[in-house]
Amino acid sequence: MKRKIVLKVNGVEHEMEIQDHWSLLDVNRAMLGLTGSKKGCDTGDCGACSVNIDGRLALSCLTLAVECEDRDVTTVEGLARSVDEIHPLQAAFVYYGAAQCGICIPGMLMAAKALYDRNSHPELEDIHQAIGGNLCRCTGYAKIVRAIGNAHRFEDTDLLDPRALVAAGGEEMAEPS
Amino acid sequence: MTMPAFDYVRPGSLEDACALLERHGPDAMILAGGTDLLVSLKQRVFTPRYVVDIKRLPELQRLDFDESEGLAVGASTKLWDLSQSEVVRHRYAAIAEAAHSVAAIAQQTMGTLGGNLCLDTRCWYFNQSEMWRGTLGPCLKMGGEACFVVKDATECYANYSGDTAPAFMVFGAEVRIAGPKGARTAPVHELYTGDGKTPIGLEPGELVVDALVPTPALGTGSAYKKYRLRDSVDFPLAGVAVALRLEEGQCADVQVALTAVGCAPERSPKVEEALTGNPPTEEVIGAAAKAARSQARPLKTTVMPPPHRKRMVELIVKDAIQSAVSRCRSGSEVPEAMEAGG
Repeated sequence: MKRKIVLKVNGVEHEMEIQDHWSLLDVNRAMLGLTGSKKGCDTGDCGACSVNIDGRLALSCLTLAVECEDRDVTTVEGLARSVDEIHPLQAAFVYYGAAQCGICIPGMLMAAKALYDRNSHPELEDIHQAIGGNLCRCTGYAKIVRAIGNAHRFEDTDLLDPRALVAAGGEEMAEPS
Repeated sequence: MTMPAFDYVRPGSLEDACALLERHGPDAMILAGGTDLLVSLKQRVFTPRYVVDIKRLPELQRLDFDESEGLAVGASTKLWDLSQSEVVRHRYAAIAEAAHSVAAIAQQTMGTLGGNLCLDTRCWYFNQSEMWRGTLGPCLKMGGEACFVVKDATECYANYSGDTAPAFMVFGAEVRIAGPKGARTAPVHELYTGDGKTPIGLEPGELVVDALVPTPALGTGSAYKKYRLRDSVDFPLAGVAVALRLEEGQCADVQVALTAVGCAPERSPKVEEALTGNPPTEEVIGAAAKAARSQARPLKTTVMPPPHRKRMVELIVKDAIQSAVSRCRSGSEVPEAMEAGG
């Protein structure tokens, strides 16, 4: 059935006409142009479509767009805190070169954000659990884990000033073995 | 993959939800977390006309504990909230562990207790894409004539893969069910028919409202252990929940339930017998685990061969008993568990 809904994504309310059986992922990508979330498996196995709904981790391929009325959806496009202040996780991913092909990264970031919001100084085991549902086909997990573990050191980092990245303070989490 | 077209309905009250589900029968399916249903829709395993979203119903939201009444968990409680609750972690460790072992964190923050309890049975020949299934023709569960797991079978042997059910069973939990004819209460194990084709014993129009779990006796230790291919995401290939007490060094009130090795979660009386009245020595635990191994009857419903799964049942049962026993011991020494409950 066709219906009109108001969908709040990344703080912006969009009035749109959708079909009941459209997934949030398809609506985000095709109608809102938010192509950060990737359609990997489309069945909840790979985590590439991860978003946050009301601050909690969710798979947008297994969420109907119509379910998200009155909900607050955040995709990777809404992760940066403002135009000139990226999220510490983003800074850490850049600093540690955590992306190889990059397809899994939007999902990794959103899974990591759900963890960061409840625990910004996670142990290795917490990180492993947090991204347990996110597959990286390049198997580049080590740098991703390292970036997530050190993200808190990049609070207040300005991406426009690369020196800020290099000067990240605090004690570095060791390379995961 | 796209989903087949359906109408999304979000009833405003429990009565409306039951009435809708009764009126449309198999044409309507319940949507809660969506982590299992929407996958099945994409695979065209089901093509309902109506999808009834019940997760916002107020009656399904509670998560309360009271020392005299026990624990009440609404069907819409997210598995994540269940696993993180202080009282559940301290008093009902097996439930917290089971909820936390469902798939990955995204499925736990989306998935609900009701959805996990009422999880449909799964089979290697059933939970596949339309094209995959089309090459063999429909199996018994899809309404066909043949079973590809057991030759010449007349009934379906699909595997029940819920993690939370056995954990609720070992605490003697009940589910409250709402329906068009009014509410009823049933022990958790009665929710399951044992038939792979229609595994959940709910009448048309009925839905699970909440689970009520009695307060465990003082000093109870419990654990849930699960074997799966990838520890981060997979369904169980075998799972076991154990709850017991130590009375003068001997196991008492032993409750053991197995999951994922049959069409329904089931208690394991042989394991309970082997433990009851005996001290939890390696020998006794080993014998109990062997009893579980001979009870488990996994079939070729998953990628892993049944003999391997039987072997793993023995190992996880051993592991779960040891874990429950060590919790009994530390529980009596560390008053933290009691404080958290009050």
